[in-house]
Amino acid sequence: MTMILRGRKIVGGRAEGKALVTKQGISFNGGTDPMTGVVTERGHELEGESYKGKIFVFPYGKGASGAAGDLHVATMLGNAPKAIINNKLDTQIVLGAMISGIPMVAELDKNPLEVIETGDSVEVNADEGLVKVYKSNNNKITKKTSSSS
Amino acid sequence: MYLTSEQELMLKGERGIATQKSMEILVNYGDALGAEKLIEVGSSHTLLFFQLPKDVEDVWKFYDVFAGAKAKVPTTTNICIIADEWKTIGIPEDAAQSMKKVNEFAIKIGLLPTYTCTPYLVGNVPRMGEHVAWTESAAIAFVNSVMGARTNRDGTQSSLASAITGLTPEWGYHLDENRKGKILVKVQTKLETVADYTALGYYVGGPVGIDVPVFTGIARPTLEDLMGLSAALATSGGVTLHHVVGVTPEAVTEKEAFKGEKPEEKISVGKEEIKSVYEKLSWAKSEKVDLVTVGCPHCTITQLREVAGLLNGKKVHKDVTFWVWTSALMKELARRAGYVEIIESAGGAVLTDSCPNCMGKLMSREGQVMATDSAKQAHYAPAKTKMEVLFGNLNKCTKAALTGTWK
Repeated sequence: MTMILRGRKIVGGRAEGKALVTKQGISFNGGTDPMTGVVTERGHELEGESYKGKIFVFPYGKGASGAAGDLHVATMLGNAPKAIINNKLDTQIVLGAMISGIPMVAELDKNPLEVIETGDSVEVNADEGLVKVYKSNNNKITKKTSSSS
Repeated sequence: MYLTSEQELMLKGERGIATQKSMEILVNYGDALGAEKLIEVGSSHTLLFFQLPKDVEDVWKFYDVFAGAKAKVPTTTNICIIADEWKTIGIPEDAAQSMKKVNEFAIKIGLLPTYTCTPYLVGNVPRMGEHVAWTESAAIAFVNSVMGARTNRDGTQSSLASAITGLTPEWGYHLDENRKGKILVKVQTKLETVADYTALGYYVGGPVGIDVPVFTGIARPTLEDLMGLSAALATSGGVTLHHVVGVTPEAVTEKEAFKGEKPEEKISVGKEEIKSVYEKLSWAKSEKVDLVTVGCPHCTITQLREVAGLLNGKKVHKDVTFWVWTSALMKELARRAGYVEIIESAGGAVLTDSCPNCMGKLMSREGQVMATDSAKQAHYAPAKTKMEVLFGNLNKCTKAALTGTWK
């Protein structure tokens, strides 16, 4: 099944990859490790998961204001997410994605946190503000595999 | 985005490469946000890259572009560098050298080497309604909320660009319509300590996310209470601005805080909710404390006085390191007042320019137990320092420093 979401271009570009989705806010500084791309916030539902090479879907940026800098460092080390999809704009994420050249869209016509699941294949055409979601039938298996690896 | 003719020239490179690069950052940042123009700022507070991985030469290239510039507006710098104490703290030499290089860059381009998360205590004091371009989530929430200044949650790259050009995109919290309250938070318990205020902010930050909370039921908070509240709201959440009815300048009344509209959501916070934060953030397996750290955000002179009072004539337990973090200016005042001598005589240390979470793994304290009176420090410590954490008020933390155990 394919779904199309339409929203606002924040940072242009195109990317495709597997989605990593959380309903909790992300702090790229102090909540993730730019040296590895792994979410390190204690008790976060993605703790231990890596955003590297993923279409990273989360509601908004939160926490420390070193986030834009850490996203930049993660990008310089090759650990950046392929694209970012947010519900609301936090300036930290916008600045970090812009400097790092990470395609970013937000304010979509459907709630991406409800439509996209971890493991779905996603195409982001940020220039057009378009997100194509190819629903994966074995998300649960994907989730299990990734959390046990 | 609309640019004035002078701004066009800046962007074209007519005012030098550093200004051109800064304008590129600000115009792209503003376009991404959807800003219509740039506005002038009265000051900037920057967060420089530090703890650089050795192989990230690109970071130095990023700095090189700005090396010929001079900051146009008064600009302070956020925590990062270990003053002269890096050897006693155990920071590796190469990291200290990298920080020294960052410091040289800062001074060369005219940034003030304050290295504090409390720039508003050391001369960077915005006025009500003044536009500024600041980093440091805790300071951003504080100056927006308590001082009525206007800044977004700016970052390393944009704050440097704002320092050099004196400009920032007109977006978000610079605009009246985005400063109204969204969520009503009814505080139904008496908050006794700064730690309680950080617990309140930490509890509320999650559900509030990046919206604007309005607090009622808080009477006569101190400067330190409001610093702690602001810091914690921007830890579990991404709060840029909050209002405290009857206390902060844009919230003389509840009606004013919401600009006449109805709250979208209501949250009640009682004794149990505050207690739940202490329980959540105190999870170390051992009650034996290795490090007690206070000063997140950096201590005010009043807090330094309080710590000195608690330690006067006493001795910190031989197995415990007791750190009190503050700005260099505040430390000098505390030295003149005799507080530093009291704290040092008791076996504690008054340190500047950084904090445990800022140094992170450079401290090599993985697996040790940290006690702190700040929900912010307690939140980031496991990921940043790999330490186990205990969270309690200043009295409890000081007692732990004296006895070596958490009780």
